[in-house]
Amino acid sequence: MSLLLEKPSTTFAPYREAIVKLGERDVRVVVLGADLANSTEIDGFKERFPERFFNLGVAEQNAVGIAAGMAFEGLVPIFHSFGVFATRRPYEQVCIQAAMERSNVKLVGALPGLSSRLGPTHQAIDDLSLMRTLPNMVVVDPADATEMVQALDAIAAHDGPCYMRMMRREVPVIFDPGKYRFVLGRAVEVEAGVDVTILTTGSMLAVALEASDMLREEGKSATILHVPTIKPLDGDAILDCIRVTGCAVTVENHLITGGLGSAVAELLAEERPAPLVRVGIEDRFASAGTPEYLFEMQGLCPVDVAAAAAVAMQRRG
Amino acid sequence: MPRPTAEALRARAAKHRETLVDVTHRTGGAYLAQALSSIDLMTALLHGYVSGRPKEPAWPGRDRFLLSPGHYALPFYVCLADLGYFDAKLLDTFKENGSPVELATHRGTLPGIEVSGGSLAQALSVGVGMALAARLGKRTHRVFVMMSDGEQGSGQVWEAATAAAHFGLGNMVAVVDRNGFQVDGATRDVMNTDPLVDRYRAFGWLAEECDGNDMSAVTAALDGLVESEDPRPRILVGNTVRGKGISFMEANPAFHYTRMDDDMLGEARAQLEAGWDDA
Repeated sequence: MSLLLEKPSTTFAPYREAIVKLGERDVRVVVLGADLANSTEIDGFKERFPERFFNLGVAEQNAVGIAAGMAFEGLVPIFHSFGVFATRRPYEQVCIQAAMERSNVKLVGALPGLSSRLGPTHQAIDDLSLMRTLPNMVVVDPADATEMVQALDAIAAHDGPCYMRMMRREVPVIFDPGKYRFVLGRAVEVEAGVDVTILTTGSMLAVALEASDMLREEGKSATILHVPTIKPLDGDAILDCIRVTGCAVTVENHLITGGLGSAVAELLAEERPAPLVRVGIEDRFASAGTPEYLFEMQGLCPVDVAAAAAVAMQRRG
Repeated sequence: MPRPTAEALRARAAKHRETLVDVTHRTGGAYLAQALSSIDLMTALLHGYVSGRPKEPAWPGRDRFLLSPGHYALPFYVCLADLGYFDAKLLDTFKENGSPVELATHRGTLPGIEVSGGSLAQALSVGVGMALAARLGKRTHRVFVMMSDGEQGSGQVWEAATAAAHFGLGNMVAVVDRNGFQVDGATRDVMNTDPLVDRYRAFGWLAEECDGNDMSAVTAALDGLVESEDPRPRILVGNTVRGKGISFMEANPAFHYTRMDDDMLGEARAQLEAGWDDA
């Protein structure tokens, strides 16, 4: 049974509604913003629960400290900003007040990877890496609206620090909301194949599905294992797939260092060495531009994934 | 429970000074100069103004006390032990491997420690979060935050000061041990943050300063600030002397981290016994 919609669609601003619903269900939830309430789609929560909404201005280090203080008092603070400002800028505060303390602080970062037109200051290409390296931190990169809405509930229910990438405005709907159930820490097989395993995270699932179609035309079948939780990594599921295909490709809207590609490389090196090709942003900063342009420049398109799969299969022999 | 008098708090602080010197000698070293500059402020707060239940440290109605510079751990431990939060015998294990009595404070190591303070300048933000949570929960306890003057050079302190004033957190009381020194020397030489009281006033705080080693002055200032109906967050800048009470340590930059031999111990004890004249 496929977990996917027969025909993928889009929806507008699913997070805005999801965070309000979460607030209705759980009175402990407080929403923190940093002068980006509309941009991070928490303006609906602000209208619905003004007393549980806190705009902390352009002061992210302070915001993370405040979130920790609230968490110590039993609240569930969810801090929203762009991914770069939720991770890079308050990194030490996140490390100490969230990760080290194992406090119940949630960080939600919009504009993941190459999705901002403002250039490298706004492109969170290292957020997964920064968060993954912190002990106790849970790191989630959802693929579509269905998964993001469920993942929001899951991180809120998890007792401990979490970072989640957020998709805003026009968001794809790939998973069938009636069939798909997100489980924190669990990878999910989206397509089954025998020739190559494509491991995806975040919005790159859509790219991998197109790449899989290309491979099929060449007579190759791919397993697509979607890995929305980068940490803790579902190592068993990944190894099970690679045991069948003998080679793998990782695909992420992120640097190839520090995120999914690194996590899988570490796993394979220690548990089951196999050819691996990482698709993502090479060791460089991107320029400003549209996501479509940047994806092409950085090699994040379906054709790049299919080419990487061919290399992986060739190395396996 | 009525608040102890300034005289009783002064006697308590004098006793704590002896304990600080003894523990420093016995355990091989401590940040003693800062302990001695801040012990009067810390004693006044913890024995006089911060309500808590030593046998029920998580009592929801307690005032929160956050120590921002974790290096000030020892005087905090001494007060907590004396109040009965833990057995004072534990002080002899100060900074031993495996001991909860660590060189710097970490949340969760001992009852009464609400924040980790080893990395400076973060606790005022945590305090703002706790004060907002208290207000959201319609609870009346206060949030006290003790800071040093060295960390006033950090931007995060001023982000937090801005937010506390913005939200009108009259349930916050900050105290600064302004002893005039940081690791590399005199604060005015390393990175001047004067006029500190004026800065907090400009940021929208109810701010006062006093001689932070004069218990009568400290309690008079704290009475005014804590009991005030003013809606602003409040702060007391205590002007203190590093190593206060021991002449060879007073304002001597050589004593950032202090190791105390037997001769120094004898001299220090004699001087503490003689006391000093506030005037």
